[in-house]
Amino acid sequence: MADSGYQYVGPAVGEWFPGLQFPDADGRLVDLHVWLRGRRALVVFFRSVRW
Amino acid sequence: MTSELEVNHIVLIAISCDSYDVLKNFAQTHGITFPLLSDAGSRVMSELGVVDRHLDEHHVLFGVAASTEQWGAAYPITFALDIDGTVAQKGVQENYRTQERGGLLLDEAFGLTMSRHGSAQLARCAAVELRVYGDSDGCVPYQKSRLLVQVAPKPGWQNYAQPTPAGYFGLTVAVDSVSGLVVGEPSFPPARSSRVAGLLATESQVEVQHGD
Repeated sequence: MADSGYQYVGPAVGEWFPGLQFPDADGRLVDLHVWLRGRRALVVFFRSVRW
Repeated sequence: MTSELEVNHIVLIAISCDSYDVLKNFAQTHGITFPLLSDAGSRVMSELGVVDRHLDEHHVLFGVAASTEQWGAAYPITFALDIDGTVAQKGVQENYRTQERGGLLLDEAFGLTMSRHGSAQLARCAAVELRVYGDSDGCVPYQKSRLLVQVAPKPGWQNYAQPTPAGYFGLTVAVDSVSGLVVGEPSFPPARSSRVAGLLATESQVEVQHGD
């Protein structure tokens, strides 16, 4: 996978990804894992929609 | 790409430090149907440790200075999560200019090969048949792409990995230099040690490549 030198950033491969909470479309906080319901996922962190 | 994810029941989630309203408007404007989650204030990203602490260095590459409103952005990082919530694979780029195709991450995380790829070139010789294709239809500046080489030995032939016994040649891949193209190092499938009795002057182990 990408050898950027930043592989130490964030949870490591094999580690459990934290149950993050985010507001849904109605503004209610939802736990990521509860929302995923055991599905595989790609979680992409991006810079901004305004750049 | 999103249709590929749907077929394989993989959820796509994108997170930024934009506000909820900014993301909601953006999604509506561009017809984005997968979740764009807001981490305004970068609280979650800070807890995860993914806030970009090298923003100024990255902007130096672009010849511009980072503005204060840009602080709080995450590294360009993607996590592939397995069904048990663990990180199956992750990809981190040096900066937001260089991007890797999502198909590569899915391949390495879940063993999925995207159905869409570039046109294949075929070749054959006495020992093998080759099929070479890119993981996309074309090249985009600053985007990392992968060139896949499928090697199918004909009956009676094997692909040897390094190190090879004297007199035998391991599989190698070389790419002619192309202006504007940076070529990385090739990766090969895992090899298994095999003992070929009577075939070699000494019954030593050889490394034979298997699989894709």
